Amino acid sequence: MKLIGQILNELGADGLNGIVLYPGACCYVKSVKSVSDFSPKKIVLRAGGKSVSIEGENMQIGEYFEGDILIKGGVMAVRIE
Amino acid sequence: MGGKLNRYCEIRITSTAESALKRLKKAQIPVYNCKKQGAYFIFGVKDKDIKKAFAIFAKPCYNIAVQRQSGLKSLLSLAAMRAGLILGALIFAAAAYVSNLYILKIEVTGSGSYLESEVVRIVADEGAGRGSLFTALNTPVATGKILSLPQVVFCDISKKGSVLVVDVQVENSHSQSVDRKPLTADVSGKVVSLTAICGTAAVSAGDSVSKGDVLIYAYTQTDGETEDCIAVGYAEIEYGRTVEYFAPDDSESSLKEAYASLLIEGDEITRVSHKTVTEESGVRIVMDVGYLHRISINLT
Repeated sequence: MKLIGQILNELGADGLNGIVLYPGACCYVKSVKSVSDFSPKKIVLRAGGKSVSIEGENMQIGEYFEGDILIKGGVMAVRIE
Repeated sequence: MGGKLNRYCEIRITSTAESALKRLKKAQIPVYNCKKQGAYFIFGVKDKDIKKAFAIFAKPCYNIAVQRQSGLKSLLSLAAMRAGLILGALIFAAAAYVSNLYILKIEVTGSGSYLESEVVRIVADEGAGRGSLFTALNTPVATGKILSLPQVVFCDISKKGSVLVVDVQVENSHSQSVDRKPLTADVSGKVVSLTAICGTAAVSAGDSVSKGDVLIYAYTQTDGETEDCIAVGYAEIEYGRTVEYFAPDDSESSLKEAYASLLIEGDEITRVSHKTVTEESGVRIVMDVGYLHRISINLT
């Protein structure tokens, strides 16, 4: 994790706005402002001033608290617009 | 997973997920396992957040309801509804536990079960009478005393619920040839000593007995109750005889021969006195002899 932190720092990435994806299992998104669309096949989030669209099958929100959201289910794609 | 307790209280509201999540986020309520089910939005909250969740969706349009309680809350609700049953079960368990601490019955098993009355007496002497605590029993001493009973070759004391089980094994040959009669005197005389290992002594040292008199009864008496058992023990009876011996002359050798004729198999001579009476054809030695006779039952 220290290595990842160094890489993110060098790249100028904001560590607070991150997405961790485990394809077909779950997706973890930080700094979520709101959930703008929610269905088992598509979940759209507002995070870091962008729209994060998560697509998959049988998805549900496993946990949502203080801007951190865990989406469980068959996550297949994450699109940032 | 089916048997796992549900960690969250599941709430169902008539709302869009987007607006419900917005409100829940604003109220800083952590939500779990959110899903859509037709027109309903279902989400989970911790028990401590249920009131807050109901408060932010208080308007009738949300039609909020608890769909499923958390495992802990379900258990508590069930416990509240079945309080009497649970109380009864607890009382039963407590009663069973307490009764298991006490000895309500003593069972003597094994080939030595005929020694039951004596075994029960021994364990009672060592603190484990009926109604007393199991912990009061001095097991090593009781085991030692039981092993010292005649023919006992094995003893094991164990606890089964509120029953004290004493397994007593005796020598095979002995268990098949037990004499269940009382010990009776086979000579008349005076009792010198008497030891009753099992059974009840009928006489004591110093008593005079006649042939056929009971020395040890085949029963025991405890608290006024009589229980059959085998008689085990031995007695020493002293008896006297007058013996006459004819000899050709009054000499040392004649006296020796006269004394030699006194020996009776198994009995010990305790005293001898004599007088010599002169006859036409020789002498008549009249001897007053005391014998010590030993008699036993169920002892080898």
